[in-house]
Amino acid sequence: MNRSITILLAALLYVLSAASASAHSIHVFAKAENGRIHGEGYMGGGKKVVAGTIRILDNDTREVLLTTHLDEHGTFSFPVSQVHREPPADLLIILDGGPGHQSTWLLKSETYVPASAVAQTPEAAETPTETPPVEPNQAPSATPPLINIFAGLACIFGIGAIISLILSKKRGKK
Amino acid sequence: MHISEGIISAPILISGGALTACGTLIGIRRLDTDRIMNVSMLTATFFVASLIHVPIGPASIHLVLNGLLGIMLGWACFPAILTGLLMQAIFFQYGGLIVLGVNTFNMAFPAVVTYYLVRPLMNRPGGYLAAGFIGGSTAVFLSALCMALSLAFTDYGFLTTAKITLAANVPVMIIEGLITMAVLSFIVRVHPDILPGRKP
Repeated sequence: MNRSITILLAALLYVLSAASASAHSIHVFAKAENGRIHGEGYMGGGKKVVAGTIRILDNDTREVLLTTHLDEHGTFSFPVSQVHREPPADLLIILDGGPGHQSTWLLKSETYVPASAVAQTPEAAETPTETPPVEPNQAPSATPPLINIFAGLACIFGIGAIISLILSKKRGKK
Repeated sequence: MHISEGIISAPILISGGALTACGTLIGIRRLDTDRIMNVSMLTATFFVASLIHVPIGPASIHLVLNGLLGIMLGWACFPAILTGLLMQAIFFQYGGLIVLGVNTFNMAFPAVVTYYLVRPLMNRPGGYLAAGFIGGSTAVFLSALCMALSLAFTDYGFLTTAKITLAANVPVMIIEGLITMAVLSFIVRVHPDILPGRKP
């Protein structure tokens, strides 16, 4: 009978782990390019976040400079001039993806100010400028790697075995 | 169902951590050595269940199975869910280590409530089917409510948050109710004595 239960639970475990998997934590990243700030919202599993709200704040004063929304592709874009202040401020970009789901990205002023200056002059706006590459807070991964799933399972059973061993020894002493 | 880091205020984090610590202590004290491998199996099931996602709105929902853990483990679901969430935070980056206490309480406390709620049904003929569905769906409902409360205490509007989280979790409530019902139906037939509160 015990074997039947173990087989059932193992089968349930197998079915669940074999199913299509994706993480659900959300992330946002942004970069400046050609006088605009472009960004993207995505889930930990790599899926695009749609309909999320983006707020652009002055990182020092926490003043909301702009509020926008992600489009159907999970991206957003706006001209630097909409958030440019003197002196230039570091921008805190916040993605609200529903209750309990929020992610932030800090865009340093030096990464978008040169692009802004270029965009202000019509002749310069035609010349693309290079901006420092901005890495996302966390690279999107398609699914949690299989090794992570097995490592987690191994840890769970390892913890169970250790607790079992400790309690057995305690009982033995009594 | 996981709350991310950086959202919950410090008092809620501390309260959640303290309540989880109490629940885990009670769970470990009541844990029978012979049932540790059952607990491990259910913890592993809880761990991988979170990988099944249904995208709804800007975020997504996933299976929790805390109702199943509550019915089968009683108070021992606290250390089980704590371990499962810890592994999810480490290996999948779900939730986070700082919010581990709050997330554990939000999922384990409803599971314990479910355990006491459905226990009287378990000894009635055919009652385990109702117990499975009610337990599975109620645990998710209460977890969503706890999550909304946690956010409400951190300056988020309770009603709005509760409406969104509860609405988003309705499909999960139904799915979990059915899964819990199916699992209990099998266990009651083959090995009813492993269920706490059920007379063999």
